[in-house]
Amino acid sequence: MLRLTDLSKTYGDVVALDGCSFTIERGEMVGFLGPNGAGKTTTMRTIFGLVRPDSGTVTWDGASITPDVRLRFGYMPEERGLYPKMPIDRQIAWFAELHGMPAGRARDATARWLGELGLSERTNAKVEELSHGNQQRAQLAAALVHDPELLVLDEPFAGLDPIGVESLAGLLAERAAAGTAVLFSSHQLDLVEDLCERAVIIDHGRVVLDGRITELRAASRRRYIDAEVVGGGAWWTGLDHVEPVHVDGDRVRLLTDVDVDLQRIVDAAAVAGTVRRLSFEPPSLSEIFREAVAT
Amino acid sequence: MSPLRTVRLIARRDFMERLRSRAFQISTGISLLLVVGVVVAPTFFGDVAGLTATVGVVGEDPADLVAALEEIAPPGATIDGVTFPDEAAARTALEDGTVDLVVTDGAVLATSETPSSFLAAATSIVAAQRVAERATELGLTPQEAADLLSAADVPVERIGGDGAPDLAAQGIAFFASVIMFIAIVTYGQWILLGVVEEKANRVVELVLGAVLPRRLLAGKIIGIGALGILQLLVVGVVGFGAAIAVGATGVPTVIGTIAGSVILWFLLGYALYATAYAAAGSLVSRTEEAQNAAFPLTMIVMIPYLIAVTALTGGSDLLRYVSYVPIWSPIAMPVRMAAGDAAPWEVAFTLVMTMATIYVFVRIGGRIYEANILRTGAKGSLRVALRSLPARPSPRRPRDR
Repeated sequence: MLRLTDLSKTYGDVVALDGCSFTIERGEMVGFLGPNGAGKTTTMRTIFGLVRPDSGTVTWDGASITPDVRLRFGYMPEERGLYPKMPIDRQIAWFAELHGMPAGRARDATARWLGELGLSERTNAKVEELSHGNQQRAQLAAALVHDPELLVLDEPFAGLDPIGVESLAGLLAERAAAGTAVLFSSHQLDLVEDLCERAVIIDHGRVVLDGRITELRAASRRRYIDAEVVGGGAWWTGLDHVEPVHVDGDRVRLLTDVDVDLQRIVDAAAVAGTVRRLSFEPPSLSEIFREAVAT
Repeated sequence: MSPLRTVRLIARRDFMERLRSRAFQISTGISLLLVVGVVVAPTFFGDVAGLTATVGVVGEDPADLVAALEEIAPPGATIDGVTFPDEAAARTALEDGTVDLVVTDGAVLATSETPSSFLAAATSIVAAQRVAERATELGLTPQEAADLLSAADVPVERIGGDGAPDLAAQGIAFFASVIMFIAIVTYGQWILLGVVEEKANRVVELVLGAVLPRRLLAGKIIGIGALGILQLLVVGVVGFGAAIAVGATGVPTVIGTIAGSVILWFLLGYALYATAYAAAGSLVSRTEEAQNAAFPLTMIVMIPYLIAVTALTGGSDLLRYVSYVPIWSPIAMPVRMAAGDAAPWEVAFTLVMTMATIYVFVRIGGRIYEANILRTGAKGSLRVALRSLPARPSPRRPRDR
């Protein structure tokens, strides 16, 4: 288990981390969310010893992270980079060896991962000769080749086409199912909601929300009603604690709260017109996110 | 994983990838062509073995003159003799360039291109003939005339050293200073470029996620240094082979005596400047800025080099003082040692001082490198670099046991 406890870091007057704490279990895939400049990249770099926090600790399985422990982690940094003139097969195998794999196993693992990522045809190509998408795949291979116990990916979905997103999502889910702890940052909140059970939301260097996405949504006091009432007009006017968010002909999205008398709302709709559809849902992850970082 | 294995993996990558690079292969090829050219070229220009000259005598057999000139000519030179019927024919031949020097009736005819040593030899032969003739006219017997002439043989003795000044050793000293300067500047720049490239394309973040900065630095310095020594050896062996092939006598024995000191001082000089170049590289973020970062260091290395090449005779006081400065010893000392000008205590003193300085440089340079290798954006400066030095030993990351 990865545990970050009370991490703080300032650069001059800029507070990058301000008491950031959370954990990730093996086999768990966690979405790491936050607006730009919230401290996501600094947190990830701290895990790899690339940033030395002013205070706070990072532990793996309860022990502090030594250089040897760190070899069992895989990292895809925010700013991608490989040796541009080195062929990818030699390069990925070198990174595998650097993480402690014997040469033979490093070669086998490289061939396997390059195959899995669809780079079998280009194993001899230099990195600088690859397309953008293939460079991204090679970068991912460098993070995965040594079968890490913890996988930390900074914006892995940025710049991928929908097919690339789908295959990477599948691959990460597979790693988590195999017992790897996976932490990735993303601004694609729908994707995180689909892919992860848990999300950690960070803002101004501290964790503002952390939990199972379904529970985070349920914990909100807000509820949304999506209704289609044919011939109902503005049937919601006059109801307490109900605000229209978006109106489109007969369809409407209403904001209300968890304690509202739902029966009264359903009755009002039925009296006003023909109810085609009516749902009562907690906010989506995007809405939770906007709520959490608004202050 | 053992630190040694990490350092070896990094060294191997830097060694192999650079060895495979077109730039390295081309630069090695050019170095080989240059060294073979420098060794072989003189034989084509007839300086040593290919010299030929034609000398003539009007109305007499040129055998005596040819024999006298062969004595002073360089080994392997060919001197042909011709007889001219009259002076006019000799002058025509000189004008045509078919003959280099003619002796006629107690006078010497030559052209502006006649070697002055030939001219001097021919003049003294003619002078001796004229003195002998005059002695006979004055009534001296041939025996008395010979006694008189023998008084003109002035013995010459050179004082100091083992006799003659060791021109070969001075030449090798010159080459030693050129090689040290080029090697340290070239391989230093390789390190600097390697550091800047890793930083500029951000791969350093991935590598340092798995490797401590000082191990990355150590591996890089060892890998590039090993390749540098390989290149030096290949160029040296080929140059040595070429020298033997063209029969440049004297060179092999001298090289044998100084090769050891050049290699030792190269290792020290490289170790001294490698971390300095790495630290300079860590201060910049883009390859375009790399040359600016290298410039001050190149200037520092150039000072003893310039002093060494202008003080070739050895025994220069300035060169001696420069060789005592630890950052300059690696370039100045092999020159002084090759010229036979360095006392054993001086060698020992500069070796110890240089090694102490290497230790200091590795500490400070390594610290600057560690503090700046992950920085991007703001352009580094010496002030930033010095600020990056923690006032007290910084909390280290936990060491692996």
